[in-house]
Amino acid sequence: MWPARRSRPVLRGADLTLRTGEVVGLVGENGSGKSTLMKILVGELLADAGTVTRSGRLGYCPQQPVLYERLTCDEHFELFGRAYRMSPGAERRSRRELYAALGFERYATTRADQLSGGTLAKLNFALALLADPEVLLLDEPYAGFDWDTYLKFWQIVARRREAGRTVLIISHFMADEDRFDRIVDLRDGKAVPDDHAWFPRHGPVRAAVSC
Amino acid sequence: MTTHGSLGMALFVRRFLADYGRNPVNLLVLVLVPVVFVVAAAGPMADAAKLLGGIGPSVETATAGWAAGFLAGIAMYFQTRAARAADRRLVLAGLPSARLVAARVATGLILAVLVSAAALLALAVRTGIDEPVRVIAGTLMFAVIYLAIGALVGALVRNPVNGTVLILFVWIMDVFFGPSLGSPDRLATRWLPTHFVTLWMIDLPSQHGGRMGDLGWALLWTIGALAIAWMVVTRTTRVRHGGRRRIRAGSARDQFATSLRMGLRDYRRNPVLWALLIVVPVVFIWLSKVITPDQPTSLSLVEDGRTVEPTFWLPDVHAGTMTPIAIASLATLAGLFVVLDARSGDRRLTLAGFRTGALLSARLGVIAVAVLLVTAASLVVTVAVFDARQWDVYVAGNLLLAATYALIGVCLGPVFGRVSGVLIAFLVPFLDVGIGQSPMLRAQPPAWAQLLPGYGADRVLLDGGLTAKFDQSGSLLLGLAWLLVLGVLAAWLFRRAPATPARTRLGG
Repeated sequence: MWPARRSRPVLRGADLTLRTGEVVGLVGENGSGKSTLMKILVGELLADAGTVTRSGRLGYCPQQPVLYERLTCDEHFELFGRAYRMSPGAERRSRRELYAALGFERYATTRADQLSGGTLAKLNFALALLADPEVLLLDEPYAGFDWDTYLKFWQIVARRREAGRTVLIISHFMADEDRFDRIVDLRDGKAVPDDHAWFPRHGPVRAAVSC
Repeated sequence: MTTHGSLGMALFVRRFLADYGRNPVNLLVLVLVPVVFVVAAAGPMADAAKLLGGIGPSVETATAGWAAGFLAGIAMYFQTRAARAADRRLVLAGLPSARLVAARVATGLILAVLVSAAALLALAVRTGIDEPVRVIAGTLMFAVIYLAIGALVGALVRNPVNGTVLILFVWIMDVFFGPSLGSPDRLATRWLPTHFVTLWMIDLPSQHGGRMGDLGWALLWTIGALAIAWMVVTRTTRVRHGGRRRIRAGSARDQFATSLRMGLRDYRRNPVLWALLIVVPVVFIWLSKVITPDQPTSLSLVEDGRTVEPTFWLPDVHAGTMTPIAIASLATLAGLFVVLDARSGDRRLTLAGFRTGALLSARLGVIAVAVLLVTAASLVVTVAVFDARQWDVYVAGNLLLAATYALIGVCLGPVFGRVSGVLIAFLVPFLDVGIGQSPMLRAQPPAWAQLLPGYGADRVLLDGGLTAKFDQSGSLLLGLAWLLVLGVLAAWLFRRAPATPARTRLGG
């Protein structure tokens, strides 16, 4: 809060490149700068130095559901549809598909402040998917999901990989290791590729950050 | 409108009138109400009015207006309620919406003439009509005002029993607390719909009509009612054409319209807002009237270019000087919360592709609505306890103050955050308007208070409230300059919030 301001260097030479059709896991201990790196990539934070390159549309799902408390699920979709510059018809089609895929259509007219934690997480995730973005950036997206939704989540991610979309997921679950094409570990402010899960791809670069 | 269009409209008006005539409730009240109120009950009510402090014979004249008002309200209620779905179907079938609305409103006006004629006929039979122009015009104004009330209730209440009871309730309040049954110079009841119409109709000057006079206010109510009736009927017949979007999807205008609509929804769903809108004006304005000691006070004002220090009876003016404090506090909170509540969501929207300019315009649009709302809510209470010498200037000064403090709220949010922001949102208007500008503490504001944002607007509203002529052009310009500076600062703070990387390269 004003007038106090604190700053702490988090990332020192972190380089990350995302290519077409890959699912990348971003791991690291608490406070290692995973969310900071993702926020720089998406444009929410300004890096002190370095460059960010992006190609195509980005879909971003923040760690905490960032929503308007008193607007309903439908109203959120309408608002974000305008942000993505979708036509109303395309937005409604995509909205229906997402309700069906994640199973929360019955909450379409429920306000965000009256949703359970799990449904809120579904809405948070669905808003990132709405415009079918080329690059999807997910900051611990499945924290509030039940088992069934968790499985549906990975099905959606797999389908996106098949469609040539790129997904970057911040994760703490070692059980998810096999689901990633590669894993990037943030250590001492640097991005270190994990050798055990390294499946290099050579498609076009979708997004890259160096800071 | 073309000849074909006029003929088409005449057909609809005829059919709508036939629909009115075929409803037995309408015909029953068309005969019953004039007979009961104008012929049978007028005498006893005139006697009752004398006991309540009113003037007896005038009640007999006013009963024609009461009867016409009630009949018009009921008639328009059934027109609006019953026709809603069918009217939409007509528009879907291709009838231009404007023609349908014109036909509905024309039907309403013909019904107003019809019910007024019935009421006046009963009055002519009972006592005769001494001043025909005044009485006929007054009765018609009653009918038109109740057309709007009927249309409004028809749009909101589907159940005919509930709708009729609601109109009856409004009508009873209007009649029994009105000036002909009580005291004509009572301020507390002048917000009733037919207060000024009644006084003009029975030729009993209110003494609180100001520059507009009782007839001016009566005409304003009538024209306003007609505009409301038009808007209500337009809204009830509105059809959404999915394929007829004129705004390009995702354009700046489209984004602005959507975010404004959603912002207003979000704002109106905040229960604290509604509670504050009632509590703050009642506590600050009405209570100040109740607790003000009976004593005189002198204030420094400008009249005809000269500084004068007239003496006022404190209970007459105190509430009017408390209104700006209520308005400034409410506006600051509105500005603070509109921006703070939406802040993180707005950042995400901007990242998703929403234009910052469109979002900022929408937020300022919500704040403009909030400014109108808090000013209106406070003035509704003020009207009952304070009589401004120039209402237009007084209202304009309060609006300027509200806009100024709403923008201060917008600026406080990003700097101080939620909790500290709320404390400061109460503190700043209290220090500025409540202490610095207060005419109750000293005849004119000290030098330090003249540097504060509320000074210009406060001098304007005091000039409007307490003097007969506007002399505060300089203060008005100063207030507008504050508004401009705060607007630029608010825009800068808003644009600064969602950071975008300076070195981002988009594309391949």
